[in-house]
Amino acid sequence: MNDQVADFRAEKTNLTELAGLGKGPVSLEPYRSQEWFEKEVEQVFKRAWLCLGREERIGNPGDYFVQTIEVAKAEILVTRTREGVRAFHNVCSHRSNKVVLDRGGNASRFVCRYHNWTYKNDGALIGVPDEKNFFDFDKKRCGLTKVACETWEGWIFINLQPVPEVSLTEFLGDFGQIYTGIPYPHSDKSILFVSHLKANWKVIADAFAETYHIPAIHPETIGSTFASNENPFARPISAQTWGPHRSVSTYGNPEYVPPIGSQVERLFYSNIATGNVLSAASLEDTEVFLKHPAINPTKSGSWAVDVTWLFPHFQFDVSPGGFWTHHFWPVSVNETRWEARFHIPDAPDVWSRLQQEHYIARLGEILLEDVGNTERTQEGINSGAKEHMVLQDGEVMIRHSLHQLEKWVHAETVREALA
Amino acid sequence: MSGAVLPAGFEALEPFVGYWAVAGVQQRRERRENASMDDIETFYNAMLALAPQAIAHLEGRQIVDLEGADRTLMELLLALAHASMATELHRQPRAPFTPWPHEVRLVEAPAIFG
Ligand code: FES
Ligand SMILES: [Fe+2]
Repeated sequence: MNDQVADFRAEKTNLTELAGLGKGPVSLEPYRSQEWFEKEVEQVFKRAWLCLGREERIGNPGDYFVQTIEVAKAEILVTRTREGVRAFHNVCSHRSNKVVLDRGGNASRFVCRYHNWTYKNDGALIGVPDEKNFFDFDKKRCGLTKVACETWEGWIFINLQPVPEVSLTEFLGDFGQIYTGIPYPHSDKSILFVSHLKANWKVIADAFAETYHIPAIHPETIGSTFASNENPFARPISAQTWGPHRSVSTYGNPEYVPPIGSQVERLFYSNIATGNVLSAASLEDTEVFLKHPAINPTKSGSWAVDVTWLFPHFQFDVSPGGFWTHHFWPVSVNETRWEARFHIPDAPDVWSRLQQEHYIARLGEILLEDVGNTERTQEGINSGAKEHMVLQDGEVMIRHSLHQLEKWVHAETVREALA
Repeated sequence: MSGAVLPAGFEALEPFVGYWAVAGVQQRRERRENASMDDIETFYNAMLALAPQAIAHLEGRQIVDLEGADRTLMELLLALAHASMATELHRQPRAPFTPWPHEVRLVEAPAIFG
């Protein structure tokens, strides 16, 4: 593990150096090369463990959802059996029709609509019309094709290798040891923003991986929440890397209160004494966050959010007010399906619901500011005007991401990539 | 309950019901994004003036059970959150330098008034 603490008040920070990364300009080819993209698909997305999100999403036996993974031409059926979470290719063993046609729900069995073959949610084939008319037929060998699936701390991961080279534990490494016992409040309830964007998946992921952009892109929505006179450029507090994974702890202005002009925000929060206006967590959960050694690792009094980026394409964010996730699903070299899921509690009364509406309304603005910028960036990259981009110290996660992708693209084995 | 559009005392808000009292966060967001700044400001000023009374009217109840005129009043209050993005943050209908139209959509909303 690399544990890098920076003093954002110093003339410059040294997170990049402490992470053992170079400081030179970085090639833009990984953002526009079709050849590189195909290598990412084969060497990264088809070999790494991919986080699909929280298991509370399928909290009851029989719950299921379908996850499309465009670059693998795959549709993965994830089910909750009595024994745990399981994953399968959503492909019938008869003549390969799709078995499940909706995106999720609860069912004890799945019936393929072509010839009514019937499967249990553990993948077993249990019903075949006119079975006697097949030849040397063994139902036991005709279950749904399994996809490697493991959970860690309530997060569901799959691996598209028929037999994964490394276990999830090995893939997570030290990170998996340190990030244990963290509460994920309201993990069974969420809202979801989605957009299909004409930009490479890394352009979108990068947009959520640094805070350098906050004063420029988010001046009104969150500028004064994340920067202050003490830290005018919203420099991170610390950065950490663990093998292919990484995290930054970001700065929050401890003095923030809604400005005088924000009359609606002030009114909607006027029934509560303490104004954590972005809060979706209980005080007890916030306490556990604050005490946990992995969260806000420097125990800064000016802590806003920890942005944790699990290789390759998944980020989760933990703040005093709760948590949210980002998935950056590549579709083609310059198309991405981006999903941002925010976990928030039910709001049963007028006060809490108005606060929630204000929170979601502002989220919509912040997210649009973030991703509304990405298609323009991709066009700039595609123009070929630049061969490189220059990254500053606060953009250390972007550099680490590219460095790790390069390792995986060139490594013959996953173990070599992880070494 | 009478057939009034809004509860007694909130008649001044009736002109805004048709456009601003819609079901769903995404719809409320789109209404604000599609409105002119003049229309947003007119609604914002009228609604903000009556918002404390509207909250008091709905306070202490399970909002999931609201019906008719009370439900409409709640939807107007919720729309005020969106109007305030324009009036209090951007000072224009939409965030500066963001694309329009765009496809950043809320596809799963809260269970109550979502
Ligand atoms: S393809 Fe599924 S039953 Fe024939
Ligand atoms: Fe941002």
